[in-house]
Amino acid sequence: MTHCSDDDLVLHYYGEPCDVVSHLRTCAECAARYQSLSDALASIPSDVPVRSAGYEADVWRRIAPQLRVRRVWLPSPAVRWTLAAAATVALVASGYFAGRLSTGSQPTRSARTSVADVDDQTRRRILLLNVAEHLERSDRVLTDVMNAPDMDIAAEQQWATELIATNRLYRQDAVDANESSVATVLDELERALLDIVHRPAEAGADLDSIRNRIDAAALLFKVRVMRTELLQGQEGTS
Amino acid sequence: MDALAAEAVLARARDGDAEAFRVLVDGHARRAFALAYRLMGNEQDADDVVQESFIRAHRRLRGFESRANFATWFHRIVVNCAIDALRTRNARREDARSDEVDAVGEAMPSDSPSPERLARSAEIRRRVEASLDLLTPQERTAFALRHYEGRSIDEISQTLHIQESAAKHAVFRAVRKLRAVLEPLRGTT
Repeated sequence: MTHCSDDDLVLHYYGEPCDVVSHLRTCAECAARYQSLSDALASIPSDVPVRSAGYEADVWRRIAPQLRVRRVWLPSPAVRWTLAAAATVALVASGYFAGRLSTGSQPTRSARTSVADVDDQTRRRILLLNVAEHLERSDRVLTDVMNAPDMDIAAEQQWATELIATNRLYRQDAVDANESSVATVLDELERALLDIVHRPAEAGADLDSIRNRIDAAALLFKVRVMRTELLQGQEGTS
Repeated sequence: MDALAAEAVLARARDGDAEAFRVLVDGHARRAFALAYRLMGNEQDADDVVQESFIRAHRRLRGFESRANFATWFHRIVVNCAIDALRTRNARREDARSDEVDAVGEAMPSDSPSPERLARSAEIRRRVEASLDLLTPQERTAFALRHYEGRSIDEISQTLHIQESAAKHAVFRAVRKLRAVLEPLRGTT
């Protein structure tokens, strides 16, 4: 007669599929072993300490400050571009009408030049402001990826996907505007974001290699320095 | 809360509505604590795991698909947080581990039966907690999910992202280690 293994008895105890019932009915030795296993497992205490009535409020009080810090509102790229375009139109229009009011009903050559200047300067300022905001959001995603305590970065991958599309547009705009240092940082950032997005789910080794590449390129440092420079530049021109 | 209201709360929470997220905290904190306590074995660590789980859930809510069940999704987050916490705790205790094994073995009252039932119960609890601390995070989690939570081997394998056979063997190893501690103690009564 083949007796039940301990593992079979464990499976049977927990109601997992295991064909030992008929054997246990006829084998006193296995039945005794099963009884011993059952007694041991049944003796394990299973009570959980009762939480006070205000437990949920306590949890909320402790986590709320951290949620405010961690929560990032990420409008879609389409919304950001609409806002940027609307701001550009408004600023250019205000410059144009300011020129008209100051010089009469017919715009002079100098007024038209002024409009063109306002147009270029405004576009540049808006571009760099948007890039600064984009770098801030990218900083948060990179920081989360670098510090994620487990291997699941699904949320960060979704953020990175949104950021890649925006990053490409800003990088091209930076190239067109001869902002080569900005374009270089955005180029490096794009590669890191692509790494994050294309990392297979639950691949721990991959995440370590992504972190190493971000670390080796000092990307977080570059992103933060660039953002600070852009914001300081805006303060200087405003 | 009916399904429609729950879906609306989730949608608002995903959009960054703090009050909606608080509704989720109110609805899931106690169950999260019970799970965390069974995985961690003490209240302080369980409270920490609950907090970290909600923070992690909040950060990842945008990636949560509304078709999925929030309770199931959050259950996995709590388990993963607990595993991370267990790894950290085990690493801290690594140096003391061999001493603990010796202590558990030496303290077994094989020749001195406990006269009081209450004292025996407390002793069992102490032994179980000590022996659970000797399990790997995966063994401990698999055992807790099977023994306390009544999760099937299939569910455990999905939650821990491991093969069914690995989940099964994690439970087997955990039971073996626990029995080694508990059965001599039971023999004294």
